[in-house]
Amino acid sequence: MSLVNQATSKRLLAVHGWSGVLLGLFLYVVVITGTVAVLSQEIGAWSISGAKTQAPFSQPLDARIRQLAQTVEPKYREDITIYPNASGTILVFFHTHGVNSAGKPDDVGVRFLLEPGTLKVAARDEGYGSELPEDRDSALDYFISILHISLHAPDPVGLYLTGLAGFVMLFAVISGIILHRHLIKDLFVAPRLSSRLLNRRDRHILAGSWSLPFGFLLAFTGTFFSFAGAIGLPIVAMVAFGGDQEKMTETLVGAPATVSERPADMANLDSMIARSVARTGTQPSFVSIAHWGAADSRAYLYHLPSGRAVEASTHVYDMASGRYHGVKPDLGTRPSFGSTVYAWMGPLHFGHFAGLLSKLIWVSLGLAASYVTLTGLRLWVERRPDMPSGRVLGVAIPMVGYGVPIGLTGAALGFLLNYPAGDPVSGTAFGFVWGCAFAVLLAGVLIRRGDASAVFMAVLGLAMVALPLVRLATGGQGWPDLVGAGHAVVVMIDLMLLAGGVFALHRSRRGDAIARSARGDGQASAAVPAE
Amino acid sequence: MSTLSLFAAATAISLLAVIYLLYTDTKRTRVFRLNRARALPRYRRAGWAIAFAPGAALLGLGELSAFLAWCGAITVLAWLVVARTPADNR
Repeated sequence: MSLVNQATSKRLLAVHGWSGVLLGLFLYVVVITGTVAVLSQEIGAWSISGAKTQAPFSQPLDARIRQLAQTVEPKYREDITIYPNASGTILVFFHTHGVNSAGKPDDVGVRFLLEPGTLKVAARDEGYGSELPEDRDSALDYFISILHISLHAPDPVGLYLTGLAGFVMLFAVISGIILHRHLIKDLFVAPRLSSRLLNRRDRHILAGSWSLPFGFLLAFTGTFFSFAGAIGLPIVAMVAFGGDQEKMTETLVGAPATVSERPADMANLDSMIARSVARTGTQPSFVSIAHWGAADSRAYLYHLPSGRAVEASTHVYDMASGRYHGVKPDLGTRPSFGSTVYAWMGPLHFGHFAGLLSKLIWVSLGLAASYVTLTGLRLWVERRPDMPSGRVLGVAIPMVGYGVPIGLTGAALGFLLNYPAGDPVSGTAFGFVWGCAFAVLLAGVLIRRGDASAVFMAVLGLAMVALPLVRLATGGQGWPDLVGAGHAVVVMIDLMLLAGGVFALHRSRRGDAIARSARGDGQASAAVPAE
Repeated sequence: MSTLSLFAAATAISLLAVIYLLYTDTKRTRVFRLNRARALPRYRRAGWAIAFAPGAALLGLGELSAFLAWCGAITVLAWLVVARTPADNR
């Protein structure tokens, strides 16, 4: 039964369709890059054939941090952030807070890159955080993550754009629920083969119906992440803190209860990390130390979710005494409903709450959302065969639909070819641009052909199959060595690429269900028309 | 039982219930003119209850991460199972 009358339903369908046509391809770009970005950590490990250390925070960091602290200006000891990159290199950023050349609040200080294993200083860079050289080991996973977060557009335009995509997806999900009169009744009806139009409609509705709850969830959390930083927090700062963003951050993050500038000896950081690992059963993914060398100094050890928990946890230690202070809420200093809701946003959007298992499930949910977007666009084109814009869109859909994944394989190729002796940061970006440009050229060549999906799919399949081979050819480790060194995740990504590539090549030769049905038997027409 | 085993067991039970619901769905039988004589006995409410019961059990046990993973996995697997047009199997 419909939730609205027929006239409203018609208007809503028109808005659902046109908003999809105008912004659907853009939404698809955000969704498909997000799907790939779920595995950014694993892709980072794959791109360099596995990290050089499995437990970067179990190295003797304490002595090295003390030594480095003596080499930086005292003002930069206000905050220290410590985290590993894809190769296990530890990045240590001693910094204070300032305003960068663009007039925006930014961290400024000295960043050290410490080699995994030896902890020797591999690089030392000084300046504003946003202006420091990009980390070459994490160039590929960082590129993919930023492509999803802001499309590499300047801040905050990129966040506005991805937030807009989130709103489009939210609207599409809600209007889809209202429009689909037989949501439950049609939940078990497979796509019918009696006509291409009906088949496309059924495919879109079936995928949309099953992925509705998660489509809403991913869109809502994604919109929150885009707009919270770009619009929400500045508004909160303006309304509640008189425009003082630093004061607002202190309140939201939860400034220490006691402040003391009195100098103090720092307790052993390695011991705190070891205790935190024993407490949570996981390595921290990020450590920050506030007020190094002062009596009020605190260490914050951030652990990803483990076991039954869905939320990540931040464990606080007193740096002067080494005493454990407990778990700090994500927002404020005391547990609250708002902090719990906020803590759930990340796991629900990134799907990292149960390790690789949940990430793979989230990848499949992302693929389902991408499929819904593309089938919706194809349905719109199929319904308007005589419209000139329909013909243009008919070429644009496979161009973008397969072009973005082809661009991503281009980025990976660019990284692999430039990592051994070149500049992988630029190589990754150029690889993506070349991959996308190739897709545009291919679309230009095939524009008279009509639906060029099979050709695009074959190109994508070949590119995916080529990636593991290029990784090996450019000095990457083989499978036995990787498994022996505990880097099975690299083998998994290789296998995913090979399986995906072979599947795409197979599908490009096989054609869609309607083509197969037309070639095969006449039984497909046994299905009754749409109701 | 570990979180992984609970997740696997819950997903398997729900997926079996979804497959039962699929094969006893009247609209699907009518649309694809499937053989009604070979259809399973219809207990739709029981089917739905078994499909959702593992999720409720995971919540009751406080296994939040397994519950979320179950929610995601079952929606994708159910879609993949349902999306196979009966003609494909002939």
